[in-house]
Amino acid sequence: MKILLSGEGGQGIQTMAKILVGAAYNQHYKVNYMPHYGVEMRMGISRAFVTISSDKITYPKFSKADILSVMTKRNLNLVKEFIDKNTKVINAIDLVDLPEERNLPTTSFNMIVLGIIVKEINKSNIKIDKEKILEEINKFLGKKPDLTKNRVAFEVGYDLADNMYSKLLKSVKPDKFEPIINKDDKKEHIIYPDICKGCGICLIKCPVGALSWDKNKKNFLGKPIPKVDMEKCIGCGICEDICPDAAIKVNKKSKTN
Amino acid sequence: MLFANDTKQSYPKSFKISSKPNKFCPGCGHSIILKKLGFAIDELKIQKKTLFGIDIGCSLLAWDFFNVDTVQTHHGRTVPVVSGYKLIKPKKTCIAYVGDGGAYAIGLQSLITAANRNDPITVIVVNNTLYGMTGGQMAPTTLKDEVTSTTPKGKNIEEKGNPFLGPELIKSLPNKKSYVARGIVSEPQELRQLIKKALEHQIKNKSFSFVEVLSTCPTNWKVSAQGSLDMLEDKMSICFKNQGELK
Ligand code: SF4
Ligand code: SF4
Repeated sequence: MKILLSGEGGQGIQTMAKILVGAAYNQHYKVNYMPHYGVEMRMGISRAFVTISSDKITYPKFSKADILSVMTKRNLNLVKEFIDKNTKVINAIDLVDLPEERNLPTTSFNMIVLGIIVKEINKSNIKIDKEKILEEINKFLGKKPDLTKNRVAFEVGYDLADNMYSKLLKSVKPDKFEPIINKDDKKEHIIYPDICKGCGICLIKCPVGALSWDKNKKNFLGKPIPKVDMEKCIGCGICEDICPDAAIKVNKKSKTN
Repeated sequence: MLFANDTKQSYPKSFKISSKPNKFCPGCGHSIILKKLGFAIDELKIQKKTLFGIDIGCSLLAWDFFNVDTVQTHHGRTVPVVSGYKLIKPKKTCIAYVGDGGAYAIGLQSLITAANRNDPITVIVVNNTLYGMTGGQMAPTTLKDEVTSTTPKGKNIEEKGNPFLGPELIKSLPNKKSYVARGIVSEPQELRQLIKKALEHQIKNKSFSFVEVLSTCPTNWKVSAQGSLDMLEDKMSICFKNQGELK
């Protein structure tokens, strides 16, 4: 059974994998787990290759997965190559809000997905005992305050109806971002949410405090982006100059361009 | 992720748009330096004849940053690789873009030799006082009492030595023709001028040019945007106080 877990760095992909192989190992299966990160320190895509088998495992990676779980839109292209006609795809992209709906912490999203994965594994001839998983959850998350909630989250995933996560990946639409353009008769201030990483340096460097966080608009990482108060802005261009990601453009009307 | 037909006016022309948003952390000084380098390349119109060499460490995340010829080398070996390239292609503008670990620890010997030989290349050293990609370990440039993952109680300079002053060292070499400067990412306009002058020095005077840039690492310093600017302006600026053109 070859399982590929994928998601954003920080979603707890590697914890899921460790819990899964720990439980399977305790049931005397042969297991292999191989983390796979990008070289980035942050914002990288995180993947884990997990193999669970009754026979010897000869190679830690694989080219096609039996089960593939996808937790974010950003890595769709990276995982598509692991799909063939026998792959069971767990599309958890739309389930991000499920923890909130069930009164669970957002960080327990990974435990919900883990529940779904275990349920799917148990449809094959490999059977993972739920109790063993809960033991491993205790081991890994025992010191965290949300332990019981994580256990509940796992159960939620385990009992989730199949149609909640079986939407075809093809039907997932990538996020669309439009530049946010503010204009008055003297200047034009543009912010690009598809490249702003929400670092906050522009807010600090603006000499008149014209920038603040826009809680309602999200950048490509799902974090807030700055918004400009055109009354205060003097069009100096300091924010454009300092922005590491070139996500701001300020045009003064007198400039010819 | 970019909109069709949008040329992104905020980008230098030499940027490779398909690789943006780039791979650096939010608020990383690398992105500011590379943006300014991009504008300097545009201004000098040298995009087609630039060789951009990068090192191991966070600097390697720039492997697809520009639409220019790029080479990635072993740790600390960017300077000699770029020097060698310059020997066979003297008309190219060759840039070695390295971190402080690559330049001042493992690659110091190559750097000094290139500077002493007056190799006509430009070296840009990004100084963020630690090894970023590997998890924030102590580097030669780590400040006094700075907490890093290998100096959890703060760096003891009695034991570990003072923060390394790269530009001062290069300046003290007998080579009279080199250009030496130190910039800081919180002064982006000045930084752009320094980088541009360094490239011009290589092109016009056929000599060695060196720019160290004081940069930020919010991830490994474990600080917010404000915290990273404070560290840069209050602590690093005092330790590395000679800024601007040194030679
Ligand atoms: S400086 Fe740039 S990347 Fe950072 S928050 Fe402002 S617009 Fe976004
Ligand atoms: S142009 Fe100047 S005044 Fe306006 S938001 Fe940017 S930094 Fe602030």
